[in-house]
Amino acid sequence: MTEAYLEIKNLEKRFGKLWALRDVNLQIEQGEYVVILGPTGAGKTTLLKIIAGLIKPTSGEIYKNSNLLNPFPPEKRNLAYLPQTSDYSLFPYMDVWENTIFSPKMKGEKPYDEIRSLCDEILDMVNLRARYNAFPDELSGGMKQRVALARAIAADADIFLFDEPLRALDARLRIKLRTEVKKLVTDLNKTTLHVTHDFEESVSIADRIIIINEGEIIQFDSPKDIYDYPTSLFSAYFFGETNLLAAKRLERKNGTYFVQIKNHVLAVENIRSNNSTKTKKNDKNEVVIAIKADKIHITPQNTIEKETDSYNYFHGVVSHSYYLGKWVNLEVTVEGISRDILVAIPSSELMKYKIGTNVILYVSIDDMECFEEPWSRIRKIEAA
Amino acid sequence: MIPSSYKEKLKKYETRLIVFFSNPTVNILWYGLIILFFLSLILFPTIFVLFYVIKEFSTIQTEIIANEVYRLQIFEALSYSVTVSVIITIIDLIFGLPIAWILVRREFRFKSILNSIIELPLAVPTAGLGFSVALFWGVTPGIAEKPIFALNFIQDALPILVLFHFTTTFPYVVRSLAAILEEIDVTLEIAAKTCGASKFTAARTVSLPLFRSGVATAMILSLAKSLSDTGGVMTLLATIGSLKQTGTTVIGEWKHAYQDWKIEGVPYEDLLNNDLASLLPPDPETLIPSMAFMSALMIFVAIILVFLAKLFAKRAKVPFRKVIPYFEWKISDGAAPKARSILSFGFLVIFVIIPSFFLIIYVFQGIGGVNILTLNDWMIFGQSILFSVFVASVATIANVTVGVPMAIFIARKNNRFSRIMDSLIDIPYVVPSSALGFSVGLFWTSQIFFPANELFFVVMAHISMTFPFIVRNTIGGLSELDTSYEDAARSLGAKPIQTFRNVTLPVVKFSIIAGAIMSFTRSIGETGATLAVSPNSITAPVFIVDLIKNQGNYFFAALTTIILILISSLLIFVLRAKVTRRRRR
Repeated sequence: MTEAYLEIKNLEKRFGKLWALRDVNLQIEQGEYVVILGPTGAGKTTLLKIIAGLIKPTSGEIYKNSNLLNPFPPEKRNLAYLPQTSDYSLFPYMDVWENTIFSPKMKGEKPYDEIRSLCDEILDMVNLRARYNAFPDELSGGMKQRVALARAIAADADIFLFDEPLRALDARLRIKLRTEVKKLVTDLNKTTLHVTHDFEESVSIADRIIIINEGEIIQFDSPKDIYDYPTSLFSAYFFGETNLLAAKRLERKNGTYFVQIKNHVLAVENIRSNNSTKTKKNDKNEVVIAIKADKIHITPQNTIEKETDSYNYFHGVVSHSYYLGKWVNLEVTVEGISRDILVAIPSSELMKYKIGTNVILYVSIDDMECFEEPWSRIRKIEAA
Repeated sequence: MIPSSYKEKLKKYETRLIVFFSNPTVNILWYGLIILFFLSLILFPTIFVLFYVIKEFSTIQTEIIANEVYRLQIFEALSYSVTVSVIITIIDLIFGLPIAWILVRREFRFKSILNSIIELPLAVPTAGLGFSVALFWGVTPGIAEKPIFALNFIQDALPILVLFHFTTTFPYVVRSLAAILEEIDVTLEIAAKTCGASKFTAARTVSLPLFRSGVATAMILSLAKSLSDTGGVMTLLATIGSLKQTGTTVIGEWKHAYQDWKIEGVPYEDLLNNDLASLLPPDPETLIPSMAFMSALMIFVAIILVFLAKLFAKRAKVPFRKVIPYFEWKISDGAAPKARSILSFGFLVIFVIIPSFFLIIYVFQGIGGVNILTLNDWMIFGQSILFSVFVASVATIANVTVGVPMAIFIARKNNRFSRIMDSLIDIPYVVPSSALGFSVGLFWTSQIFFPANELFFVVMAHISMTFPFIVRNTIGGLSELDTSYEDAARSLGAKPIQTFRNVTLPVVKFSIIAGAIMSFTRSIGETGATLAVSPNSITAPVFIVDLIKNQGNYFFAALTTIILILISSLLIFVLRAKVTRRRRR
């Protein structure tokens, strides 16, 4: 394997007694667009700031291109950090032009003529050359975002560090700009770390996603891999709409694992053992099943015969339905399961599932993930 | 046009400077120097007197505490100081809260005018203010021609002291209360109102409990200010012909007596007013330990009172949690709020604005008095004004150079050391200025490295006294600027010093200037510290005190005050105009 472009080894950060980051190891390739996804307070911003050199880690090393970065102050690391503020930390007393040339001017390595032609080019790239003399408070949210991007590009940094760059925009603009940002950065072949807590945003732009929770990296994979094969209960829940069900472990038969929820017996491929340092293993028999809402097959009860000898079937009644445009979310009440099961179906099938319809749910054995976790974890994860 | 070669040279020099200051070792040395400066030149001189008192305690015990007359004298002065400052703190809170509330929450036509009127008394040096207040309220035996409208009925020291301190502290209290009130979210009150609370109930039960820090700040402000005033009390009491003393004036008087005795060999009893002279010990040398003792007592009292105020603001429960809906609705609507506003403003005008500027009427009435003044008078007058401006400018410049890095250290470096500094900064502010001045003088005469120089001592005392203004203001400005701007700048390749110049300074500049203005006006109006360091340094306020107390030349004193007000207003105006012009290039 080739040497990674950005490598983080055994990084830890403690604020007093509180662990902000624990045992972080990462290898990121040149030109990759990596999204850091996690709930508020997971340590995303701390990780970014440590890479930028704005916070000193408690221990651990950061390498860029095999060079140790730790001893260098932020200005010598050649990384462009874009903080998480509603105005993108554009300097309020400088106009668009001054903001854009800020970095080359401060570094003072290039003659002014060169800086000028370079920055003209960059402002063209983000379509803001006409507004070069506008001050940040005269610009719209999207424009500010593009100025911030121009400023980062002008810095000619090796790695971009974006902390929730789309946070302050309205939903529509966010969708438009996220692809724009990605395109621009990929065209320049820059390595990017992008922090967000928005699942959709992360899936749509990331080459790879780092899922982080309570200072620990939960999973680092491509979006599809995380969706299909979550390695922990947290990444299963945090990624997409997921049903979490408390179940009991049964005896293993013919190489298949069985679990039980009240009177339902389910076959699962595997039970992932718990390797997190945080949760206590109090009961070996408690497991949690995660099923994505769109991986559940639903059929009206009258269409097929009852297959009593097969596993992974549930009988239930549609109790609520939520229309979401392209999709409809149904809540199905199943006898013996305390909470309703969320099922996503295409809107075209809505007519078949009126409220009160009796339905049969089926989940294929490979679409079900089973984790060895105490049941109390469900409530904890959902509350966060 | 600057020639380009020169420009290039300048740029090269600048780059070299930037590189020099970005060196981590230089950085640490720089901060070390700043802290050393603060500790050795500001903090330590301020409280040096405490060490002196401990060292000389046996002398103090035999000479002062054992002497009953002396003990009584000190006790009386102290109790006057404490009584007045406690009364003032309570009155300030009671009347300051509604006015601050109206200034922040209510919109009306003359709001901006009112806002600036409230700040006006701050520009009047307290020595002049004392005279002005005495003219308005007090019986003035020394003045033949009483100005029209003068109320002229108070003869006792205590009520007039209370009135005077109310005039001096009230603007400060209202301003600081308003500043903090502005930070409290209005939507909380709106939410309370939509839940059915009346305006009054909402303000009382929702916003007021959030206001603890504001109340603490305001209480400390009025305590510290009323404990420390010297010049104003001197002119005030002299004008109404009272021989009473407060803690700070005692220090000033003794120092004066001591100095004259030393320099001119005049029997010092003659220099004091009779009342005080009869109480003094036969040996003038014991004046030094007695002044030290008095200063230490004042510092001690100030610290205790401030501590109690903080405790009170933290612990005190909001009075009567019970809501009386009918009554509170009634006073929230209709004529009641209007009546309250009118009452508050009438109060403000009668007790603060008119007494502050009453001496203007006096000067206009007696304008013919100008002719009596000789050239020599005008010479001393000019010298004193120049001296004041000089001292205030040097102190302000020194404080900006040291105070701004200090503020950055406290606001941006989050370590144990900076937190300690944060709590030490305010000490010179709480210590009464006479005690502070005496302590600074004592410290600088005790050391052996610098030759004794009175001018230098005076400047040092003013630096110590005004240091917290610059630092506090700058910290305030820094805490409003999100660190993310600085983070972004650093990450984009700007060195710390470049970040400060290009990103931080344009924003905090206004706070620094505001601090500088406060420091300048405070320094130019200060009497107590100057007198306690060196009674022979005639700054303008000292000159005013001298005119009123010893020469009875009231007219000239009033004129000097007005000119001093004009000078500081002009300076403030120029500084403000310069800043606002630069705002939008």
